[in-house]
Amino acid sequence: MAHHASSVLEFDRVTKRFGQTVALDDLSMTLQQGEVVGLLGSNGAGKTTALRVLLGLIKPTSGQATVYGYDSWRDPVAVHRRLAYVPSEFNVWPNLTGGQILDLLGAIYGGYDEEIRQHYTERFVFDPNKKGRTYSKGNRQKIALIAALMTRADLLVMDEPTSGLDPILEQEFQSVLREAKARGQTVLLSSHVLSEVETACDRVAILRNGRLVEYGTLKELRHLSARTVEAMYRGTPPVLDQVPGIEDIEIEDGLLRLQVTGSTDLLIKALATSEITSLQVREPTLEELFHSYYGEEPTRDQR
Amino acid sequence: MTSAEIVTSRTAEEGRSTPLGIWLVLLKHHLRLIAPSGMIWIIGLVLTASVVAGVWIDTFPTEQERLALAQSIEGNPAFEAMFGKAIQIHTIEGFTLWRAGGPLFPAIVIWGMLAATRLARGDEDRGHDELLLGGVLSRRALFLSALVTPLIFAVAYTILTVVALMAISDISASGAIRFACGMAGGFTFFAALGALLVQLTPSRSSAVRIGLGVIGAALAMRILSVLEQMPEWLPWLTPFGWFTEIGTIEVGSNLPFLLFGAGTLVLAGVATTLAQQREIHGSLLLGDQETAGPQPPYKSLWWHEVQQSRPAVIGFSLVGVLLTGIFGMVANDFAEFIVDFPAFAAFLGEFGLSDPGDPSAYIGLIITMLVLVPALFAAGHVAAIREEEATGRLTVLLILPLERHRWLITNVLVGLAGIVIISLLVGFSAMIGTSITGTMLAPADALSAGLNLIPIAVLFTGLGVLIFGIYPQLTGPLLYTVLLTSFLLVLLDAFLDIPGWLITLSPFEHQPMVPGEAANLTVSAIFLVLGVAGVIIGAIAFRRRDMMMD
Ligand SMILES: Nc1ncnc2c1ncn2[C@@H]1O[C@H](COP(=O)(O)OP(=O)(O)OP(=O)(O)O)[C@@H](O)[C@H]1O
Ligand SMILES: [Mg+2]
Repeated sequence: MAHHASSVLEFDRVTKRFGQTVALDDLSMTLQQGEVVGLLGSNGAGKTTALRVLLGLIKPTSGQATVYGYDSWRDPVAVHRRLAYVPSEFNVWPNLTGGQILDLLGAIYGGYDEEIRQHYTERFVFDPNKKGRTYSKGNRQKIALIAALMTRADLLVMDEPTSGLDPILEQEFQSVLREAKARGQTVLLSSHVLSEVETACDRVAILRNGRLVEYGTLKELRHLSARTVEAMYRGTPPVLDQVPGIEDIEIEDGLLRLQVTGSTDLLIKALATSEITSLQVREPTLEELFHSYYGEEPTRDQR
Repeated sequence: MTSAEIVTSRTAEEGRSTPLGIWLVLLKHHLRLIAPSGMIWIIGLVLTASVVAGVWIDTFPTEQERLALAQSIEGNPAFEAMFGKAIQIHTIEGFTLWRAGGPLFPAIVIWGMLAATRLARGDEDRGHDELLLGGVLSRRALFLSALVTPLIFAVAYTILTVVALMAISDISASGAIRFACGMAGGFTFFAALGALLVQLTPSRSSAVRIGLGVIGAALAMRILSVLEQMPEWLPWLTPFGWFTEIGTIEVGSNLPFLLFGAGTLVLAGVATTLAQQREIHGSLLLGDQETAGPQPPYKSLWWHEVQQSRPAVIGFSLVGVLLTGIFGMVANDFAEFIVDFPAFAAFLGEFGLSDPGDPSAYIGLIITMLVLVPALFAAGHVAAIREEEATGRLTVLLILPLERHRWLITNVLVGLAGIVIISLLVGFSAMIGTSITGTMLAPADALSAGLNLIPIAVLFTGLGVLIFGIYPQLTGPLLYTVLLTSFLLVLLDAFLDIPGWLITLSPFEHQPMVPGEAANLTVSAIFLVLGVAGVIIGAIAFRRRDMMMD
């Protein structure tokens, strides 16, 4: 058992095949203690599969996932003692009330603080006295969230945790995440809500067709990808033929717009040959980043 | 044109089919939903009836033997309790209706109930309906299609049965048609009842529970109505009685056909009216209260699993107690009858009865049939284990510090407790039944009769868990198929020459008829060992495989 001082979880060259489908392709990534990491990717990219491997629910075809040094597949119970999980879709027992479901999950986890449970029940405006079959999708999601949060587990693993929540609760979830981080909990969450990931996550992992195509802080990702440059000029447009790393150049009545990757040094020098009245360099939003990974080629599941 | 241009240039009207066209697509969807199981039901029903009619000539070759059979059975509560009132069973028409219809009628009405509730409510409960209803479909069209689909199966069943019966035996056309129409009538009647029940209940499963309760009560009335003390009109109260009153064209009634037809139409009409008043996912009668109020705490996995299994244990116990109790009441009639007709013992020898002159022999025979009750409970319990995984509910438990095998074994043990409770209750209700009408079965005999049912149910539990561990998707279908096929093999063996090696494979063949026969500890031990081995291997396989949801 390899204990890394600060590494909470680790995917070590994990591949998972379902018949012909390669759902995860040689995935390697680690999470540090106290980090909040967002997992992005289009439908079928392998996010849920990655989380299920991590939980020991499915067996990796090759490679291994470890949590706090414990192998997820061989020693799932040791792993589960340290984490809480929110599935993307929570099917409840139709004949149990929300409260009974929380009782049950808490009892099997091995105890929780009644006050904390009460706190989240009120915060998510959840009525625990209804039968499972009468809950709406959002309300079922709340059960999963309360159950995970009330344990105060060291690691929170969440698969699209806010799917089905209304905008106000989605906001509330953001502050819940901030508090979890402040408390020192480590969080790995998959999401399709890019703004959520952008505000809450320290690092972002982007999966595409089961491969990890990018993993880093937003700052790093931005640095690696194209920035948008807009310049107003007077007179003749600047000559940019010799500038490396630029594309999507648009020039019209005194406005120049382009994308630049890498260093801006040569671009600025080239621009300086004309009379520039204003210059704006804008970093890409996460949404633009996401599009740059997914924009052109169709992914596996779209083909 | 690019695909985007095609999409934008088409108006909504152009792509739209006619209402009838859409409805036919829907009907096809509904047919496809129940076709796989429907096929199996039809094959099983047609085959069994054909075998009974087909071996008639060989079993009772002379007129004399037939008359003797009729004389000894007609009016004898012991036999009529099993298969219903016997009318003219010295004719092949009367015999088929009685001997094949007796056990098959309850089966076909259960199928009707399951199929109709699946069609009228199954999609809705799973949330698939909204996808269909979001389009141009009306709820009425959807419901009508759910009603028409069983009708198509009823017609298919009728035609196949008539053709098969006439091909394999000397049955007259009218006899075959009367049998098939009676069966199909019961099917459509209970299908319509099922379609009605789902309007009143909050979910398909609660409708099925109520429906099975109604069927059980009707069956109990059929059995009770053969007792001498009961009034003449009692059979006319339920479709089960209507079916037996069909009799033959000479000595029988045509009123049942009218009743089946009219009953089906009335139920379907009421169901259609109610269906239009009911909201989607709603119920007209038995609602879910908005707030359930304070509930008992759920503090352990054990408690949870016990609560989940409780309804099934109660339901199966009730069925077992009711049937054995009633059969217990007629056991003494049977013994007296055997004393009067010693020659008849030979016929019963075909069923494997060694000393038919003893009431406990009859109880043994009946309880051996009723072994299906705990065995079916066991199969249902393992199927429910798979259902937890398929729905994803299990995932939520297994991401907690809970070992997979601990969850599985907890469930198996709760199921085992259910098996023990049901088996013992079956044994003791035979004792109570016999005590009402005369000589009481000794408590020790009742106990051993009950205990004797446990090993075979454990065996099927083991088989189920084994399948669950290795090929989870097949758990329910394969387990039920094996169970029912092996039971049917033994039943048919009384009439057919089934190859010895095949019949040996059926566990039911080895089941001793306690208390008529002595318990066979070797057989019981083998069943138990195989069952436990199945559970262990299944649990190991489960630990090593991926979780698989539907
Ligand atoms: N049990 C399974 N059997 C076969 N294929 C599977 C199974 N589970 C997942 N897959 C396939 O693996 C790939 C990854 O699926 P996964 O559920 O991990 O995607 P995802 O990123 O979570 O997508 P989404 O955003 O839609 O939730 C998909 O192509 C999917 O079809
Ligand atoms: Mg997913």
